[in-house]
Amino acid sequence: MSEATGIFGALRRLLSPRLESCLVCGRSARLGASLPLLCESCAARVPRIARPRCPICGRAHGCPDCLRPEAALRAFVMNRSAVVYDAVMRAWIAEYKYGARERFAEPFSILLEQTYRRMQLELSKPFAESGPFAFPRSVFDSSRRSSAWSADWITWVPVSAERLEERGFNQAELLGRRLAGRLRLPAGELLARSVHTGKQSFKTRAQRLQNLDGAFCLAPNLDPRFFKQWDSIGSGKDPRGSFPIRILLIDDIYTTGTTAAVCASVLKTLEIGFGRPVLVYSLTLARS
Amino acid sequence: MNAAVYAVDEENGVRIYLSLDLRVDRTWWASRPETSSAPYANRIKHRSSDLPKKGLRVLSFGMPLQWASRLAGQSLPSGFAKGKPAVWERWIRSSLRHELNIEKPETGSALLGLEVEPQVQGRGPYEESWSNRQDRLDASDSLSEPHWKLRLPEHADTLVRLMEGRSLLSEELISMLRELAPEMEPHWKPIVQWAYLQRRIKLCSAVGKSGEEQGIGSSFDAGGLPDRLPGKIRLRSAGGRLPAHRCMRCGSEAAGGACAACGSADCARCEACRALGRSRSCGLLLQGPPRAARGGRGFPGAARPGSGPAAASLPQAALRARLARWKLSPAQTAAAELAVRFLEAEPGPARPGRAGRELRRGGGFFAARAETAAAASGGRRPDSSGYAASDPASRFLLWAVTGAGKTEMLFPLIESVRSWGGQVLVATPRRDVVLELVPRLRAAFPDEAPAALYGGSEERWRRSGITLATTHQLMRFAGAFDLVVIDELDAFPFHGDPMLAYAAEKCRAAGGRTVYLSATPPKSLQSLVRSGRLACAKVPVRYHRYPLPVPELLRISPLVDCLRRGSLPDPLLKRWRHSLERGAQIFIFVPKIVQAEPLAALLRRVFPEVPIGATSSQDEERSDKVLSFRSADVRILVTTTILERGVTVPRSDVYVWGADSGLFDEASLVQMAGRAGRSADDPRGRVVFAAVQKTRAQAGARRQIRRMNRLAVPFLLPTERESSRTPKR
Repeated sequence: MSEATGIFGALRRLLSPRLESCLVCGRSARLGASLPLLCESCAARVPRIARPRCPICGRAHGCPDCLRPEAALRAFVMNRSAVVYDAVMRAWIAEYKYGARERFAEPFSILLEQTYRRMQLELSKPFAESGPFAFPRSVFDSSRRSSAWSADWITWVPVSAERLEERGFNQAELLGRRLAGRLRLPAGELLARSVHTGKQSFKTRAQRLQNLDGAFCLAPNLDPRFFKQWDSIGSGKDPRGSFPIRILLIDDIYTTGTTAAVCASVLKTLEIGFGRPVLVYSLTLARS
Repeated sequence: MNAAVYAVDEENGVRIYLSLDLRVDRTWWASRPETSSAPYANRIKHRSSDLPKKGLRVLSFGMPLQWASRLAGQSLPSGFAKGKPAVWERWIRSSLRHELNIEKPETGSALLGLEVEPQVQGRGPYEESWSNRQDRLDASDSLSEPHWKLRLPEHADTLVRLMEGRSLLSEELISMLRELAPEMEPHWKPIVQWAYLQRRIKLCSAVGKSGEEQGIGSSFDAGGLPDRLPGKIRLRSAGGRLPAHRCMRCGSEAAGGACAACGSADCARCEACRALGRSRSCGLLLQGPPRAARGGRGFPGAARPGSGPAAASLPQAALRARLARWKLSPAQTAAAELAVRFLEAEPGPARPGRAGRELRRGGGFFAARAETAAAASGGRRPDSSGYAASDPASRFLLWAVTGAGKTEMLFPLIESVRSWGGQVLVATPRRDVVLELVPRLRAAFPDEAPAALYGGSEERWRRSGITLATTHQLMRFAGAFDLVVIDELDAFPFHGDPMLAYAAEKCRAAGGRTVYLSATPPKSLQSLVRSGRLACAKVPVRYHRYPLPVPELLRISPLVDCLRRGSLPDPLLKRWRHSLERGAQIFIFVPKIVQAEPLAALLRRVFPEVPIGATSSQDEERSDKVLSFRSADVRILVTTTILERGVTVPRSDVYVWGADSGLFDEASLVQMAGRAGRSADDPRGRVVFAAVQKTRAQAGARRQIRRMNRLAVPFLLPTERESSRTPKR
């Protein structure tokens, strides 16, 4: 008898749909059809950026920021974001960051992966000469030669020790590590936060800039193996040794691009120790 | 959060303590004579000469709090006091073997914090005495020494007073101090540590592990265990059922994961109670002293100061006279009388069951017992019925029909407990009910200034003799209230949530009573009442003393078909027209949110001149729509179960379309029927359950209403009493 129920139980489990409760709305439904842990109706609310309007910052609508003259000086090459930072995403990201719901990292990293793939497509096709996107020629030449664009290293925007203690995790690191695992790309910490600044979200543009000045530095004891690895990546792609290293910088939200710019300029200082050009690409979950 | 761990050689063995601030422990132990256990009130004396000879041993200068809290409080044979460092390390490693198994070996050792500084001349970290540490600690001492020391006992007293009956995470403590004692906020760690050493507050990690084997420390043989556990043991413990994480605040299970705050790979965060702050393994949970028995409480009937003889021994007339002040209806008075007698009765032999004697041991005990009983019978956590079944003697069910005036009946109960200084809590699942009750309680008890606690409340940390709270807020209390009233016991989200039931148990003080209030108590509670184990008073009649409208069961085609066809069935149309003609507001309940708006659109076509609204839980403007429905700006409101309770519309008729839906159970049908005939001006509203088939829920709801009406006969108005004798239908 018990065996029979065992068999029937197993059959039942096999045949009945697996219902779990959705991460957002909590209803039991079949999850993960389009995004893991989310039901269909919640996944449909994600405001994805399918075609960015601004080629530099990846914004879905027109972007006055990137037209400012000082924008050209920003140290990162470009930014792409997976979704628009609307009310839905604001709520989800708040749950993830402040509500200690790390399971959101799963759907979020899938969104990042999809955006990364789009970024790859976009960057791998040769640009039109007269494109709005002034880019160093040599980079494109070499990238055309060596099949497709891809990042060489994934890193993330660090958070201060206080914030880490409070939250228990770095939201960007979690996304970055998961993304790296999916893409099978090397990842590691390159940056550290030298001063604890308040939350960026409470500040104006000018304050943000001033606030972040000198807030980041290179991670204190960078493993020399990183550079070895890079060397082999670089020489593998281009034996003549002029190939730049492309770092993908992960963060949760891109608002004015200040954080990305400051981090990128710190990452640029790696060029000195490493002897190759470093290009920083920013990939964020949301674009406000 | 990290905590230091040290051992003290006490009279009856070596005891392990955790520390949030070792400076405090140094001061504390320095002030104590070598072997005595003097009371904490001792003045602190600075006797630096005997500092190193205290027999104190710092075992770790900082390990994840959850590990420290596992070690702290254990007692070891006094032989350990002279143990070599390796012995201590072995003891620690074996006590924490489950934890260390999950970590990578190298991070595990680093996290233990055994060696924070390079060893000097072969001295292990264990031989580090207080004097060695003193320089370093003093250097980092930001507080001016005398000030800090002098105020510490005083601050600790304040802290203990504030923490009475509370269970708070460290973040919540900080926020409370910021509001109530801002000068203490920067030094909260020393103050907490002082109170912990006084054993007046408990410290533990906010998420603990359940199901761990007992007595790891006591069964440990000092020389027996090898440094590293052999593979066999490790395999077995990994393959067996690993102890699950359990939130100490809400009792839910939690999943472990890597944490950057403590560095452990298995630090669990509780998702269930996250709305009230981060509860995690390395988070600190502080538990204040439970409410002390005051004024002879424990046997309240016997020794209550200055409120005259207890109700139990009071003749009926005298009790009536006491209740007269509240101007209750006869049915309300009868029920309130029973309830007051219950509150003031001596627990024990008078009540059935053996639980009465155990009553004084407090809610925590019963919570634990119900938990273990549930764990034994298949692992499901108990709901409030489960707790009630395990300890019925301290509980009372006030079963009052919809519109009976439950709040007024509470007043004499609150008065009874407040008269001897007891703490009262009125908890309700929903925030809007709290907001609605506050002014009424303030008016009834003008001297008390009841505190209202809910998410986003202004007075989060105010204490008062009377507390009104949403059931979620109860998680911030432990052993705090002598009377716990749970309003609408069967309503969402309280009903069916073991976490909230657990919180409602935990917040009750030892010897406290629980009163459940409901119009539709869950079946399990009803059967406890029927078997005579749970005391209960029924209020079968509404305050206006007319019988409840009995639902009419109407057979009708399914709602979905009608929406598809775009036509409405004649029997319903006829009844709706009639309702509109007599000037009634019409509630139409449908099972699903998606059906509400289409049906409203269809109705607007049929009744173009009538204002019609639709609302659901996903409607942002719900409260506005309900207001305009109440003020008759909207005549027909199509809605879902969201409005099944709490909404009172003076002249209204209720139609439930799709009453056979599985989403409507007996309780919600009774509640929806309870929306009709609420006011004395229009006591005879119409209730229609329209469905394809008659279900058990519909029949049960009608039976329940009829049964209540039969019980109500003696309380009805004289005219009604006549008509109710003639059989209906």
